[in-house]
Amino acid sequence: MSYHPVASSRDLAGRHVFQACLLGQDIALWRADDGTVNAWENRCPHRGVRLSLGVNLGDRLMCRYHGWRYDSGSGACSHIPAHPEGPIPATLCARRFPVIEAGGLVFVALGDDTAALPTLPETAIPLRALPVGRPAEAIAAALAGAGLAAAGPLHFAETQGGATVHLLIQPASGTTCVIHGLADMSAEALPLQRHMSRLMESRRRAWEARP
Amino acid sequence: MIALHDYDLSAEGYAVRLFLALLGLDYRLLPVEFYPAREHEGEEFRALSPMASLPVLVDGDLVLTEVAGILSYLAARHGGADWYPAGDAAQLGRIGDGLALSARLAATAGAVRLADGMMLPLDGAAARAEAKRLLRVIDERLWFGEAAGDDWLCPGPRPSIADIACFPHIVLAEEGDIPLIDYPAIRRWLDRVRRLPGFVVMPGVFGA
Amino acid sequence: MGFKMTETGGIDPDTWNRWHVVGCHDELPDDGARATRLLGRAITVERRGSGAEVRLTGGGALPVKVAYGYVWSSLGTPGPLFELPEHAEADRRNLNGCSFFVRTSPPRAIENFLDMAHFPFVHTGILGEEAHPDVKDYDVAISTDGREVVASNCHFYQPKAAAASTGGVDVTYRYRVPHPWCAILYKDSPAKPGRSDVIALFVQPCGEEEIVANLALFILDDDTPLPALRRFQQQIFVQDKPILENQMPRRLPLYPRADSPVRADKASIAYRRWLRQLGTSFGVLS
Repeated sequence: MSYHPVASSRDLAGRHVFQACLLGQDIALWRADDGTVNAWENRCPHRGVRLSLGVNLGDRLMCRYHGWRYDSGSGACSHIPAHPEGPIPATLCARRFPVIEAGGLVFVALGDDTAALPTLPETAIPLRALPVGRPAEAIAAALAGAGLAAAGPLHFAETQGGATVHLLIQPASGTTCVIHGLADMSAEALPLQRHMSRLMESRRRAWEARP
Repeated sequence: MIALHDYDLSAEGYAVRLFLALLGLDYRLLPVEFYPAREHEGEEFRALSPMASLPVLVDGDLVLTEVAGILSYLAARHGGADWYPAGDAAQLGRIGDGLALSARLAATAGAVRLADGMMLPLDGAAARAEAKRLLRVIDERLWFGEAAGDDWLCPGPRPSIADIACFPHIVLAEEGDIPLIDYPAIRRWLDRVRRLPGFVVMPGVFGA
Repeated sequence: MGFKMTETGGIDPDTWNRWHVVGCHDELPDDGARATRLLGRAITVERRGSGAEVRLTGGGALPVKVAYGYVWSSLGTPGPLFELPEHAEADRRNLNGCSFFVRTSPPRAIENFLDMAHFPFVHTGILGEEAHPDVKDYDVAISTDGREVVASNCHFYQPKAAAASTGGVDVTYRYRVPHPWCAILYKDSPAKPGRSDVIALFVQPCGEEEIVANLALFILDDDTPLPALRRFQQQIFVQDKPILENQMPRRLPLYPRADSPVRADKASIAYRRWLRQLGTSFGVLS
């Protein structure tokens, strides 16, 4: 399984739980106070409630349903309020996915963690990601059809505002995707970010208008 | 003392209760059963609120029946410069825009939430499609706000009543089958609202 | 005999041949039929005096029964409905506490109703508080005739156990599950010490992942006005709604190691075992 982008580093704000979907797999992403990024299956192992509904406590994630707490890093359950005296089964653990932060984006792999990352620009500034109500393959075909250079099956590049802009497509569900953008530039990025947001919104309107 | 005629599960009512809590104001709550009794459509309630809408705020002789009016009044009367930038025409205009946006959210995300849960007639698909269009615009605004160091719907260091008016409809949108996964900047903003000092919940909303 | 799943659209025989709730009798419209769904089929429910008529939309009449304040129907050949004798006790007030549509499976709603451990986190300040989260051991069994699950000796600290409560109390609960999608709670009455308020969850199975949850009250409280009783139940139920709608998968997994139960989940474990015994396949993952 390969790594796919699911968020930008900036998306993982302090004490926040980010919700992502990759290839139909719902994921809860959260950054601990020490910087550790956790990518977990978005369901509490106890009763299946989405962990993205939960609370990022800084070093642990708390499920909303019964207050069970899971440690950053290991994913191990470390507190079950209904039974404060314990014991907590050693196998009780949030299901973790391999996660890497690179080039301002956060990449997750659903399988093993030996897969390679896409080749990314050295100085990259993330653009606003754009969810699209069309499958990843359809958007890849549309970008290729528009003449963008393909750097991989779900990785395209174009020149905008004098900078190289990389577009990486996250296959979300079977019918939706998210386009993550990286601008290869070190200067003031906001004008380009605004330009790209407008451009991508306009492209999205066209893509979604087609049946 | 301020009296609030309200229904616990009303998102509009929650905006007012939330703002009263943030301001630290005491008030008397007079429950009106929207569902299933439809008490708000009764003659007694219509005498107070001819539009038969909830909530209604009564302060002395003043009777206000729309969230935008109620929040504006409370901000101007009790909010000080933090909540009512009286001399800043541009900001007042932006707040007015935000209040109108909350009314659009009420008519779409808010309506489909009530219709779904309470099994009332509504074209849910049309309401969801329009809500999605609004949420995309709000998410973009908040994303660029974050990029500029702003946390709230209107520029500046403090939340405004536009945030308070929009929050209930957005935080409850998933009850109406409008998932928020595609609006990450909105989801971060919801967390920021939850962390405001004095924040209160309503059924269906969790705290920070 | 000779039950063929092909003739029921794949619905298991236990589900097909049971009575299912399709509406609160008092809340049916005065004129005309109400359109709703039962086990994935479009149906209409119409009041006929103290009785009712239920039809498949564009099709024939279905079996109908009015009991405990609700209309019940079936797609198959139903036997007797479970007993709820408290309904007939003269000093009780019987009412529909609330009916809400929820995107979840019928058994997820029942399992949540049987769960005490979530009170401090979901019903904070009402049915529980975070300072008292512990669930003491309780008893649970499937009755010897296999017809219901019973959980008893359940004790929990509640800051505001009922609409009429004036302060926190240690309450005692007993649960009966006499139908895969109906559960009945017997709870200490604040008004009449020694007796129990009865609160039932009757789940209408609209589809495998769509329900109407009806909370029925049979309570010993002569004083609290009806709107206040309904208000209390509505508040509590709507607190559960986001939890139920965020449980994945929406259908209740019955296969081993799908979830991680602990001692507090004994009622859930017995309930899931009972559903396996009944052969229930609607709304579950086997």
